Amino acid sequence: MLQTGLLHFPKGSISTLEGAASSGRSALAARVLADATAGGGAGALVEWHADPNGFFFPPSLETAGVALERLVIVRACRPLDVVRAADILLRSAAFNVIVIPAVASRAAVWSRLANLTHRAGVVLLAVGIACDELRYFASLRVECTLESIDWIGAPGPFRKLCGYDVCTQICKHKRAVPTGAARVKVG
Amino acid sequence: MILCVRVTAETEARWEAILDALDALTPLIEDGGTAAFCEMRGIAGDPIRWLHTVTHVLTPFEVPFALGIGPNRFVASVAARGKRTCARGEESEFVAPMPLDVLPIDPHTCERLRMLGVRTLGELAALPHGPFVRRFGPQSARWHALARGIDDVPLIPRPRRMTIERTLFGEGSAASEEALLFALRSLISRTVDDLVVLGQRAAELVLDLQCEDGAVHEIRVRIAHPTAREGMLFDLTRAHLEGVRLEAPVEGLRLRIERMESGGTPLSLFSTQDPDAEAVELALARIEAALGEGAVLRAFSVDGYRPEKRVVYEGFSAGMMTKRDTKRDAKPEPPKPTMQLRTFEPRAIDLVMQAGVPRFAGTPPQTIVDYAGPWRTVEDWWSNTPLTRDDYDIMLDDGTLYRIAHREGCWVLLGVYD
Repeated sequence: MLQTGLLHFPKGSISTLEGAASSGRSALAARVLADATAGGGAGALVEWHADPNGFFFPPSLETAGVALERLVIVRACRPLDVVRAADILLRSAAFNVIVIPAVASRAAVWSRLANLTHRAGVVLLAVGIACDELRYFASLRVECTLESIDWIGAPGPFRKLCGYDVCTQICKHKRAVPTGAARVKVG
Repeated sequence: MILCVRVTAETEARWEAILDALDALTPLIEDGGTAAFCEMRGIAGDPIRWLHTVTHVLTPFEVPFALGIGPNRFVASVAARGKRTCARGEESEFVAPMPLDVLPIDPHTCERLRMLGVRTLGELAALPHGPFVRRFGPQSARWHALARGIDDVPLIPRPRRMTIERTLFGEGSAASEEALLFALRSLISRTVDDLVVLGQRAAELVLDLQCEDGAVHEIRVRIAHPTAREGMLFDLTRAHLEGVRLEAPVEGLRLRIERMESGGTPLSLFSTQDPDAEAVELALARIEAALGEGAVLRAFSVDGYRPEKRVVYEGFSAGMMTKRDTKRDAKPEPPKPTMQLRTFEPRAIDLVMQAGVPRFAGTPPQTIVDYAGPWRTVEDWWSNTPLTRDDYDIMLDDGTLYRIAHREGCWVLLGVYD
């Protein structure tokens, strides 16, 4: 299990962080990457050019505690390239955590990735709106919802976005009872 | 005796060829950057014959050159200003009429010496050694010695550039992937034997595939952690081969080790948590072969005001992963998750301002329920194309948080907080 302070992502299986934009899923994924790279391990981040959620911003990742020198960023042009890159990274078994966008793909693809994840013993984390096939093969599904937003100051240039509260709900857990919710403060 | 060869206006590649050609003259050559110094002690012949031989060697290069022979490097380099020879014992008289700029002195000091009436090496050599060194510092002791024709610094032999090359040609053609890989493994095996004999590790290799249709494909493999392991070299080369499309059977292979390193592989005493660099390197090579060059990146933060200026990407190398920032590693991790900005390629959006406040954004318009900003950025104000931009954070009625900017009358979407 990879403990991220609030969640235990099982090694050797696919996990998903689902939710709409600004629901805090990227913040949680960054925290997972930070935990993976903090102890000297390596992490991988696969990004897709046409991802409607955009690219992760490395300075924000660094603020979250991610060791950028041990983070491999793979830029793919197509959803198929995302799963291809994940396949190669999983086969190397050199990365503790691999974060990918939750692209739509066939069940056979996710079955193959689930098998490779199990053999490599790493955490494969898919971020975004998961398709039905991915939901089926994921061992842990976490749904994120924005609860409240913290602003400081009066509207204008002296106002600042300080963070938000996110509600995380476990929708599926293959090794435990899939219930439980947590309120997470994202700063 | 030292022979100085000075070649003007020469490219680096031809300079290497010239140095290689001079190897025929003497085994000890120092590469002085703009001049080569050849140790002629023990070489058969006399200075006139040496000059004749070097002229014969350099003529095919068709470049202007100057030669000089002297008892030491400095005197030889001075002699190369004209095609002259200085005999042993005549050094001080030989260099005395030379101007100060033949010495390794900065222009400011040179000017100071001229103001003192010192214009030639002979005049400098005539100055008393002790007071001169006290006035101009310890480095001036060498100037004084050179002005007297004394240069006792020995020549430093130039490093030898070694390459290993193995070829497989004329043994039929490889029409299938299996046949090609079989031939490649055999070639790598022979190359690794050569590496082991030399006690070297491969840091960069080049594989040339010659096809039956005459096409030649060059595959360059750079290895972050140099190795002499046959399996690793084969896997890496194979990974790069995956991205090559061959139109015809391969009839010849040539493998060349372009860069080598000596010594063992450094390992950390505290490397139990470190990732397997070879596995990472192999995976990255396979991804680049599958997705194309530049698909694997490393990011680092730099100082800047605009978000897009705060990050720089470069190609990832597995060698960086083992370098650890102990200060940063010792820093406690943040107690809670932090906001992540997900950036887009800047895209234009529609935005409605009312009374200087952003009210509606997007198509169809969504209400902006809260905002922060503007934060003005002014860059390149001294240039013809200054940048003035106002950034805002906005929250739409569905709770989505965006970073937007107003620039030159247009509104652009920069990213989303997630």
